[in-house]
Amino acid sequence: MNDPIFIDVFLAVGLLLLCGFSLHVRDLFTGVVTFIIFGLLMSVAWVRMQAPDLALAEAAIGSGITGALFLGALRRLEESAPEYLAPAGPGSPVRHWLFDLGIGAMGLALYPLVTILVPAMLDGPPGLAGPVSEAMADAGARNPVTAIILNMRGYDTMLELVVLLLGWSGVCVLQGDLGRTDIQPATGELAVLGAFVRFLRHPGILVAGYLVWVGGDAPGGAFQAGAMLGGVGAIGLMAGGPVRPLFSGPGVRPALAAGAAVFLLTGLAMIAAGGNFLEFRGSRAAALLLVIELFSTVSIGLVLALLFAACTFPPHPPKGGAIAEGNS
Amino acid sequence: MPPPIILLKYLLLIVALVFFTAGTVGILRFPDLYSRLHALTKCDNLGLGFVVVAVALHAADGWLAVKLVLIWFLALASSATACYLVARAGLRAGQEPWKREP
Repeated sequence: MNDPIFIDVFLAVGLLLLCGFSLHVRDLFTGVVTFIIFGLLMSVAWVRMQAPDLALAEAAIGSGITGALFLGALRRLEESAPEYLAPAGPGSPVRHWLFDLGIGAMGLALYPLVTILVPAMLDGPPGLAGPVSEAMADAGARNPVTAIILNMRGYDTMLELVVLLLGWSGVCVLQGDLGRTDIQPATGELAVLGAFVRFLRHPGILVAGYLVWVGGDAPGGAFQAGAMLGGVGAIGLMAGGPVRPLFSGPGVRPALAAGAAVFLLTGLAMIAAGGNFLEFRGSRAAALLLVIELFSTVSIGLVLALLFAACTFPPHPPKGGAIAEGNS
Repeated sequence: MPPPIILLKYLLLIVALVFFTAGTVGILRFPDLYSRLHALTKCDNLGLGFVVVAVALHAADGWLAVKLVLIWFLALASSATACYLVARAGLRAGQEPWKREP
């Protein structure tokens, strides 16, 4: 297969330009839209670098969910503090652009250092590829990315799940209503969106399940699947409709914590079984990793959808509207 | 002379490019939100459709072609929904439809 360099040049230049625009543009909305386009181009760049795992995560989380969160935050800002949105005076001064150009030039200057000098000094390709491929036989997953994320650096991934949980707690605190999980979406006739959700939810859940299952062998895994579920959940919450009861009620908070909790408890169980904390080895490893990933997927999807709801819908439902079932 | 299947693929891609170009020109040049949306969905649906058919002809096996067509159907559904939502939001925000000057 021929490998046209101009695509890569276009991607690199386009990414730098989009980056600059999203930081320096006067209008915040344009900045957010530019950021979303940046994420999409970035995931194409990951595909070009043969990293489909990262491409999936970037498209789903970096561009999709984060973009939706930014748009939601922007809408809330419009309602509560519009003075921050009005562009005052000219855009960013030239020196900001020059500073960013300097950073970009430094990155370019580092490129030969990283690609030529460091491998020459190390006498071989840098990194942990060798040790990882040696440990793969016992890692419980045939996809090295999944083995690394869940097994070899499980601490990191477990703490990422905790960070998501903390982020959601932070939102609850900011809204002055700790533990609020009832969602009051804007009412109105969103029949078309409702039909779209009914059309989308089953394929969406199917794709999420597939992504978790395939993560052991091929690109996929809990974060990509969770982003898929989160996306379906977010659209469902926007539409009202049958998805909504899933996001309120007594089961929500245990489900939010399930990913981190199951990860932690399974890691502790490894000590009880005579091994090391968070070290999954042998014949049980694959099944344990799958269980952790399934619970993590549900938690990630739920957190992402609730974060979206928190920054999209007003914190207190308007009086006279239908009262969502509380959680008190 | 390349085999006709390759010519067909190129032809489909060129037709797709025509739709994408027309849609992009429409977004840039049309006078109001609603006609721009109209232009956008045309290039999304038809342009992407022709790309999908061309790539499906290129695909190694039938399953890949089926997956590509399914992706197109998803894009159709989401672009129709998104178009409706943007138009509805525009109408609610008081965007006047463009009318020719009398």
